[in-house]
Formats: sequence, structure tokens, C-alpha cells
Amino acid sequence: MSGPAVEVTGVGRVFGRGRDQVVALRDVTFQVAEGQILGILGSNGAGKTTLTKILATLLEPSTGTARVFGHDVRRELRAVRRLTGVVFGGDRGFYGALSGRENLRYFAMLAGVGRRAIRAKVDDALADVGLAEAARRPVETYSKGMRQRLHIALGLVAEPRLLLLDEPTVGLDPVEAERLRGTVARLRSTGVSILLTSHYLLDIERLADRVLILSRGTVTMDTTAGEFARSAGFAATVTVRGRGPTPQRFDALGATAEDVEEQGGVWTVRLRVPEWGGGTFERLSAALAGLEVLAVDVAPVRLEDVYATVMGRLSADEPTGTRAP
Amino acid sequence: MTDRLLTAAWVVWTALRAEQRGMRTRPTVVVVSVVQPVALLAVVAGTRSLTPDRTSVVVSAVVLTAMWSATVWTAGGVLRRERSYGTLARSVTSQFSPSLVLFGRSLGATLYSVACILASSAAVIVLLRLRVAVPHPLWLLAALLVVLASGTALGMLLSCLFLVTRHGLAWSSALIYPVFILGGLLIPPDALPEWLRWVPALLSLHWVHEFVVGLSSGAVRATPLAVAVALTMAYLVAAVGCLRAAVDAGRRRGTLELV
Repeated sequence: MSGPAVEVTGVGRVFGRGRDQVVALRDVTFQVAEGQILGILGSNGAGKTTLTKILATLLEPSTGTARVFGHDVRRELRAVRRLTGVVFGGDRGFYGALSGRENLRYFAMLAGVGRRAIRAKVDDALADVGLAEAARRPVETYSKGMRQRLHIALGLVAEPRLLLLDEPTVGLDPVEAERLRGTVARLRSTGVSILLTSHYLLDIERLADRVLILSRGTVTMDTTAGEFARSAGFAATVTVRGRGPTPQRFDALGATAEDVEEQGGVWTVRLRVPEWGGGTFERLSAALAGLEVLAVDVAPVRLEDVYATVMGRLSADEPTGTRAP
Repeated sequence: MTDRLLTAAWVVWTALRAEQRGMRTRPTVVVVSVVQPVALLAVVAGTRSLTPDRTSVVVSAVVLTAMWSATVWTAGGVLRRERSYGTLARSVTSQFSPSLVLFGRSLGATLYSVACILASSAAVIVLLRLRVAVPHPLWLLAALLVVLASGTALGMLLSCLFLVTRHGLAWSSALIYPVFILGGLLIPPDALPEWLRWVPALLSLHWVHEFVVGLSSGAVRATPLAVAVALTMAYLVAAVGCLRAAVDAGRRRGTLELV
């Protein structure tokens, strides 16, 4: 099928009226290509969940249009739901007295899985998330991580073409979280489009092709993952520890010293290097020539650094006055 | 067409079974469907000597009284429970009509409750050696089917109303005793003040009771049963409309919580 998997144009959402009115989304426009993973970042109340709910047909936009594979989320609800899987994390969302399999079977039926295929698909989904052995136990006996995995199985069981993932790795241990990232990456390779909302920037870093930042209901950045990483303004942090007089300039590296510390004749300097390429090590050697260096540590820029830098920049630029829900 | 009907039946069946499995561990079910009919029957049987036809009337009243409690607390609470479990959005925004899903769940709750009420009432009748007159068993079976349908439809309607108000638990408590009294299940309607005597006419269970009272004296009066059927249909239509309105309003206001 040609055309984007998700097409959001000028979407706004307002809750309440009059003085209690809250603008959750304002003129949000973006697209997700088929087979692409879009990571959505934003602080609490930025409008991420509102946007996800609109695409899941749980909430109507106040203005604008949103389409999933060409189907309007306001008018073609059933078509949108047939193509979309939703994974919202948390402890709730299941019948505690029913087993994992019974829950999954029931929700798979609601999601439109045919009665002839349901048994095999439920078994596959349970195996995919590692719950096959616990499938007969009541969900109320499940740990938080197991419930999260069941949420994921629930989103996958109907084999959707668009997957909306809201904080999918919350509650998972590192092994499980990595396993989930593998599942998501595998889904992308089969052409599934994914909208991923996460506070764990590692998820975005590892999976997203593009990054969209929502701030107070507005899209403030929509870029490729690579561009986003570069938007911090530096490529790596170099930490140098040495003895003797504290160096002030590192001209050969094109970097300025930050966080200079000195203790007992030993100094530590952190440098933010704007670019990292083939000649960087040579320039670093030249910059450190003549110094009594004890240790050098190089760390490539992390998404956390980028996010903190970008959000800091945004909060300095933004006007106040719009309340988020 | 056949496939669509089969799929609809499968949806109802799956929803019904899911509801019944959930009911196995719910203490409310034991209270309203076992303790209540047993207590009422034991009290009535112990206070006066009953003729078989009078016992039939008493059993009918007890079963229908328990049925009303069960409808309010089990079938009537389906959507309220969905909200507290965090499953409401998935249940009402699925590939199928939310009314079909709710019908299945409400039917599951009603069947379970009726089975418990009948089993516990039968146990008391046997234990206390009460003699019950059943002059027209097939008509009694018809009445039982109307009770099932009526409980299901009424449960759907209450479920939607409790969802709209967002204070379902308070309304559940508030509705129990007024209907016991005003519905003519515990006291005869002619004992009510004249200006309140129209209330029982709105309750299908009251008409079923009228029908059973007639049966116990040997008379088959179809009118009360027909009125009960008509009221059941009205409950069903109102429930479907109410659910559609509630879901649409939920999508507009953002009150369909996903989890």
C-alpha cells in the first residue's frame, strides 16, 4: 500500500470549557511511513498519551485530521482498530481472576482474530513474550513484569500493521526489556509501523528511525534519529585526568573545558567534542601533548544528554500559560 | 450471513464465559444469589404453614427478589467493573458492537446468578420439605426464560446508566430496596400508596411474578408475561441507545480510560 501509515494534520485537542479549558494538543502535524518507528518524547503532560489515544480511536480530536493507513480515526473507527494494536503498560487492563490465556483469548477475539485462528495466535503470542508456562495462572498472581509482557502479547496477537507502544519496557528487567526491543525490531523488519512513546531513551535510541518531541501539546522537533543525536551540539564527552598545572584550552580539539575539578594536585577536565571522526584521536593527542595525563575516558553522546539539552533549550524559549492535562 | 451470525454467537459466548469465570471468585455473587434466597425462604417457611400453591408464590417472590439484587450487583455492574479493571476501552472499542459484547457479559452474569439462585432455593425446599405446586411446568419454564432475558436486558441498561453517572456503586446500593418495595416483590402493590402504584408496572420482574401467581392457582394468564416481554425489549433498546451515547460521549470527553 502506498501512502503513510500515520498522517496527522493540524490535530488539536482541548479538554474542558471556559476558564477550566486545557489545551492538550495544538496543531500537531507529522507522518509515519510504513515500516518506520517513530519515537515520541516529551515531559509528563506534553500530550503524548492524548495523541496515542486519538490514534487508537479512544479520543476524538477537537480539530484537524488523523489517518491510519488512509482511514480517518474519527469516521472509520472499525477499519482503524483492525489495523492498530495498542500496548499501554501498567498493572491494570486485565481480568485478575482469569488466566493469562483466558485474558488473551478474550481480547484477541475483541481485536478481530478469527475463531479458527485464535488458539494458534494466542499460543504464539504467549510464547513470543515468554508466558507460555504461566499461561494457565490467574493474572492476579502475575508479577509486574509478567503483566507488562501480557500487555505486549495483547498488542501483538491480532498482528496489527500499526503498533502504538506507550512505555513498553516499564516494569521489565533488563533481560526482558532487551527481549522486547528485539521483538519490536523484528516487527519493523516485517513492515509493521510503530509509534513508540517511552521515558527510557535507550528504547528510542535503539529502535527509533525518527524522533518527535512534544512540548506542551506542540511538536517542537521532528527529525531523524541521527539528526536528533547531533542536535545536542556535541558528538562525545572526553574526560581527562592529570597532574600539574590545570590546562585551560584545548584548541587542537576545537573543544572548551567544562566542569574543571582539582583535588590534591590532580585535575579532571570534561570536554565536549563537537565532531568525532578519523582525525579526532590525533587532535586529542596533540591537545594533550606536554601534559601529565593519568587517564582519558571517551563517551559518545547519549540520548539522555541530547534530550536534556534540547528540553533545556525549549523550556528557556517557551512562553508559559498553557496548562497541560 | 451465516458466518457473521456464527461470529456474533461466538463473541457472545466468549464474553459470557469470560464473565462467568470472573464471577467464580466474587463474594457478592454468594451473598445475593445464595445467602439472600436461602435466608428469605428459611424465614418465610418457618413463620407460617404454607399450602403448596402459596409456597409457589413465596418461592417466586424470593427468586425474583434475589434476581433483582443479582441484576443490580452482577449484570448491572459489568461496565463499572470494566472501568475499575482498566478494560473498559478495549471492551467498548473492539471490532464488534459494544452492545454485543455487553449482551454476552450480561447474559453470562444473569445465567450464573439464576443458576445459583435456583440451586440454593431448591436446596432449601428439599431440606425444609416444602411442598411446591407446579401446575404448568412448561409455562413456568417460559417464565424462567423471560426472567433470564429480562435480567440480561435490565442488567445491560443498569450497567450503562451506572457508567454514565460515574457513581455506579452508590446507585447500586440506592436502587436495591426501593425496587424491592415499590416493585411489589416483597409487599403486594396494593399496599402501596395509590400515587406510587404505577411504579411496579415498569418492572418486568413484577409482571413475571403476577404470571407465576396466576400459574400457582392453575390459571395461565398470558398478558402479564407479554407485558414482561415487551418491557424486556424496551430495556434492551434503551440499553443499546444508552451504551452508544455513553461510548460516543466517552470518546468526545476522553473518559474511556484504557488502563
